[in-house]
Amino acid sequence: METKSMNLMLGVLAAFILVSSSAAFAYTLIPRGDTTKVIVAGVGYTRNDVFTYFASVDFEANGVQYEGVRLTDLIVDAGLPNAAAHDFRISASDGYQKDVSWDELVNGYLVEDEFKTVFPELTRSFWVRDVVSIEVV
Amino acid sequence: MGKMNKWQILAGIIVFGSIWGMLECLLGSVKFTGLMAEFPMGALLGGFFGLGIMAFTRRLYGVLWMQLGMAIVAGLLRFWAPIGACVVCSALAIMAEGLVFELIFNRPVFNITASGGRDLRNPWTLAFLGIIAGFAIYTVGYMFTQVFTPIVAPPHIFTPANFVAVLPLILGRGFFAALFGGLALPVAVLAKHIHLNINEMPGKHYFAIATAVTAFAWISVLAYFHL
Repeated sequence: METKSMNLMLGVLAAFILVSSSAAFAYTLIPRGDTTKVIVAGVGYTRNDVFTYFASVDFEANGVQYEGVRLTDLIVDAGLPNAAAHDFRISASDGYQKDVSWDELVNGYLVEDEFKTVFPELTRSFWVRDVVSIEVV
Repeated sequence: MGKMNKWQILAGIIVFGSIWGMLECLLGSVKFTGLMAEFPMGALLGGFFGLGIMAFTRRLYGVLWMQLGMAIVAGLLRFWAPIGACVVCSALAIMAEGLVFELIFNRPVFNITASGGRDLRNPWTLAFLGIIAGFAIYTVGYMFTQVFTPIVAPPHIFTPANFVAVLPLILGRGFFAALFGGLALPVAVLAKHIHLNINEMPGKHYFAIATAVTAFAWISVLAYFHL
């Protein structure tokens, strides 16, 4: 293949990658929802509400001490009937999301630092930062 | 030293794989705060260091599939660094990055060794190829972890909806890996000031240096995470 035609082919592909990936990056910067509050099973709580009205508990995860609100306390307060029968989707402001069952949610917390979920018994991929909603799947 | 034998190539796989693994473990554990909190360290590791080390060794040794071996060594070293969501998955992702490199650079048209075509001496060609390779290596490795982490670790269920939701994040961060790759490949292939000819190095020196560097890499990781 000639240098010129190879450069053209690779250059077009490289430009396509740079343009499409930068567009994807810009897309992730657009917040999905109101980042001042969290929607729990359809009910909105400001971030301040969460740590003012719900009891915080101390717990340990990966050898680090945390203080946070139990996720089940939020779900129960939201008044979701038969909550234990549902699975839940935790969504972040950048579009990242994780689905968890009630049994997993029971061991989950929402902590003030980065407004993130912490699950001591699950991998860190379930530690969703900047949570904007916890909804029934 | 003359023509390289299989033991010399094996030593090269171990030493460069160990260097790569050490960088993955030590730099991967760095936590930035403030303005640097969103620094794309994963993209730097995959797009710059990963691609750069693999391209440099391909140029140095000219041996196909050697880089997959290096990725396996780097992945094994990663087992000793308990960072990230799932150590097994991160180790497998590094190996996947090595496989992607082989799939791209084993094609005769992308032969970056000294015997390769004149086309691949052009910095622009290498920069374009680096952008493509950096992006591919990083995004495939990232996707690999997103698929395997939920399967290997609790809750042992892969949810396609979660994978689809994370795709824009993967592709978006791939932008930085592409930029790093566009720098790494020309630097690794065209580095004229590195007068390192493995073939001219006496055998005993080669193995002594390889052993020392490998030991340094493994001891650094073990000491950093376990002492």
